[in-house]
Amino acid sequence: MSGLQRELLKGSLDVMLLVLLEHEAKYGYQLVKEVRQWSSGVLHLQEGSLYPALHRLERNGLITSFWQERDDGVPRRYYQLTTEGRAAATEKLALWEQFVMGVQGVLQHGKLRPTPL
Amino acid sequence: MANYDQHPFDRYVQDVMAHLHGLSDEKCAEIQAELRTHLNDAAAELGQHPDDAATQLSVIKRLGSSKQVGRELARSHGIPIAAQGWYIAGGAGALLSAALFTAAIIFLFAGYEEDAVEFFLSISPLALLPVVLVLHRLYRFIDPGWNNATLIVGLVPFGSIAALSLASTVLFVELADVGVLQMSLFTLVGVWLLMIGHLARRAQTIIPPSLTWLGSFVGISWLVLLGSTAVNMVYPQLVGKVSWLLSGNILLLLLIHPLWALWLGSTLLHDGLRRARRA
Repeated sequence: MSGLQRELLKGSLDVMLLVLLEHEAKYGYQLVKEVRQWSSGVLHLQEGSLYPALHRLERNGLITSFWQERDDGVPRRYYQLTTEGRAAATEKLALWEQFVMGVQGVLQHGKLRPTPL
Repeated sequence: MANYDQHPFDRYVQDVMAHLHGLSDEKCAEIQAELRTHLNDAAAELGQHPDDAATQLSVIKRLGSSKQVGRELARSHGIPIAAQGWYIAGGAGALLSAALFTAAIIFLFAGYEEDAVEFFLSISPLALLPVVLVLHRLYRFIDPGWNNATLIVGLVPFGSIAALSLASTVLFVELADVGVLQMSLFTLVGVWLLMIGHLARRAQTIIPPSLTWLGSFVGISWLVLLGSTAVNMVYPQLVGKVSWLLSGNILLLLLIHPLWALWLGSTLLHDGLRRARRA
């Protein structure tokens, strides 16, 4: 993964985590796998940066956690959105989409009309 | 990256936890369990036996350096007030020890009575008691067996030397062979310095490596000093032959012990105050 991709991933990690937790509670490794799966393998989350991000979101009151055993009998820490987290997910997603559209617009313009030197 | 040849997962989790020394035991236990489950899940996904060292190393690589993960986790949890207190208590203890040792040097060169010099020198380890406790607390996730042994080796001499000094110099209690006993206890001070240096270098946090090496050097000096004194006592015929070692070591210790204590004290105090400002 290039440095730029890493930076972009870092900047979008919070919004991705909030959106991934929108419908059900999930544990850390599950989130890593989903990021990989839904990005068709393009995004390889530096797994070590996942927990600091989750713990920061929890500290900010956007998510809460609880421990629950899975079928294999091993307890895992699940994260779920709080009411504030749900609102933040909607808001951050809207901002992110607006940002992506803005960047795409500039890039398209650049591609179509190259500036003469 | 640290050396993870044996039990890579255990070492990795310990190294991450070393950076979370300020958090409560309960919170640390949760983080430890969460990391451990993540590592096992990732190993299981690779389809290899989770105990296989090569599998564990490739999983660790995906998580990133333990130092970075530990620091990011510490940042995401903020700085609890209790952690600042530990640093400040340890720093104050080390600085007090440096001050007492320096006072002993001043009294020695100013020609005061031997008792006064002896009092300051022997009471100096008492001030290091908080340092022993604080470092045990801050390094509690690194090699717990070694850490507990270091605590015992530290508590016995620092506490006993101080008690003996108080008994003989303040309460004027006549204790037979107190010198021999004190000497054996000071030997443990040297051993403690070597043990805590090893632990700190393994943790790669709190005490900078150069300071841990200075501490180990001070520890060796204590051991050499006590060894040469013991040789003098047991084999008086060798007095002339080892006296240079004794005098050289005394001079060296007078210089480096307070320097080490001063450096350690200012490092801990600086860290504690920096954390307090950031909180």
